Amino acid sequence: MSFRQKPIFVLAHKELFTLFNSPATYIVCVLFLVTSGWLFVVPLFQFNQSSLDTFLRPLPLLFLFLVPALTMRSFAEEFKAGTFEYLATLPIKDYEIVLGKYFGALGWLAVLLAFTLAYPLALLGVGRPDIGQVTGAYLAIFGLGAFFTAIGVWASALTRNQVVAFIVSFFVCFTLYLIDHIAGFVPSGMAPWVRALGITAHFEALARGVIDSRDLLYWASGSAFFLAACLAVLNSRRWR
Amino acid sequence: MIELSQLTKRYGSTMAVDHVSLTVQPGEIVGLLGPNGAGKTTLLKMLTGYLPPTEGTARVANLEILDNSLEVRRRIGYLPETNPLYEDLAVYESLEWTARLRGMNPASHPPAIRHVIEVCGLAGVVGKDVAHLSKGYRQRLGLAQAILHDPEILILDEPTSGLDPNQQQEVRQLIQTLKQKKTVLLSTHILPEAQSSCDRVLIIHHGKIVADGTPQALGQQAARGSRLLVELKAPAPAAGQALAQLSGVDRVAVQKAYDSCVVFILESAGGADVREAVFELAVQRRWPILGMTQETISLEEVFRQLTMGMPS
Repeated sequence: MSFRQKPIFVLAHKELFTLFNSPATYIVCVLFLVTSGWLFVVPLFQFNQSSLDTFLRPLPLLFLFLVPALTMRSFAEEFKAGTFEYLATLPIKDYEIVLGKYFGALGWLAVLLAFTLAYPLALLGVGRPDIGQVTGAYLAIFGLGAFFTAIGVWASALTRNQVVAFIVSFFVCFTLYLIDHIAGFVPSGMAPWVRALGITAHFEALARGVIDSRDLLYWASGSAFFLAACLAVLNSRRWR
Repeated sequence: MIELSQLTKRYGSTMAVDHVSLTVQPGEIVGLLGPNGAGKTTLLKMLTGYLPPTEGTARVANLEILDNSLEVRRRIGYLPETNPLYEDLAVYESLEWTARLRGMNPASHPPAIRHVIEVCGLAGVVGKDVAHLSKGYRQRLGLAQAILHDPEILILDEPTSGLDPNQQQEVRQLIQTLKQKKTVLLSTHILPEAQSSCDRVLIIHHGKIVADGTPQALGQQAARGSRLLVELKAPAPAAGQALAQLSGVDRVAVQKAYDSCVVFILESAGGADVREAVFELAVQRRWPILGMTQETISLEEVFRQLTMGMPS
């Protein structure tokens, strides 16, 4: 069986196809591109700053809305329409369904992020941006996106209501975003551990261009944890 | 071939399927009849691997469903009760995605899709979006998806549910065309459908199989339960006693008595026709016959008796 025939690829393709067919996806994506473009362009022209910083810093906040909006329909819509029963009775393993959905949503996010490559390319035209920093920044963005997508897919498997899926996903992502700020209020011995759980430290380190395997491991293990949780949720639905 | 042994599904304290054992032979079309909530859908969902059984075992195509779930799903074509379809796809796209998700050889997609479009009569709506299909065409598409990979076993949950009589007839004819090559297990609560489409009928109630036989055998069971209503102008005790002694009469009951007349219900054993004997008795005793009506219990009534009079 070729790679293109593997169920994970076929499902990811199908997910991508569904997202491409949905007007809501385009609305969310246009809103994201307009906001991120504005964040990049305004300092460039107003303050003559040729930096990705103004685009990067608020990105986790933008992702708090963007990623749950992209992933909320993933499983919730299948449950609501009853098509999950169709999927689950095809000769496909549950983990392939989860990964197919995940990679489909991640693929769409990658397409969206490809549009934002216009910003560093624009910087190349007006200055000499640090290629290492740009690479680190995109690794950070993609890592964050991969982690939030896993959370979104998991939240979507919890319910048949897309709005509930969005709220749960947003709440978990927001907690991970806030946790860095909470670290100041916990006993000093615990603070580094609490900070390590949050996304901010890992995102900022990579965004500065410091590529540390611990940060990459954080995104990978966080994504794996929520995908495993998603699989557990699907299994538990069958045993109810 | 499908073999169930003591298959059970419990939801908390509710017994949805209660120790069901049965065998469906290759090439057989078996109808699972039962009222809503009888356990038909749960039983079918267990066979397709969607729900795990609480107890018991099931083998589909000689494969244990829990140990070989993927292979079982490959060999089965399944039409769920709700016939879920992706609304945002066109008919051809739906079939193409099904072929891809089923892992069918890419070279076989176009001929297989063309074949099911022809068999299921979808040629006129191939380019239409699923969201714009009529209920009948949606059901045909669901069936087309179920048979696309040419499965040896077909599991159809209420395949004619919600269709108008013409559409029901079309789907039944479609099932008949599949009959030659496949083992079919279908659930329904429409008796004529079971009678016309199935080689064998199972009646399920409160999760248990309460009757199992060919439609003809169940028909005979119905005939055995024939009743005769006799209205006589006669003294009730004497007439009742005399009627009970007639050969072939199983039971006599008084339905109503008025003035000097009585209406008796005679239940005959083994489907015996006792009308002539009743007539001769009445003539002999000089009891005027005011009315005599033969009531044959239909399959529907057998079904009703089996599924309504039983304790849960």
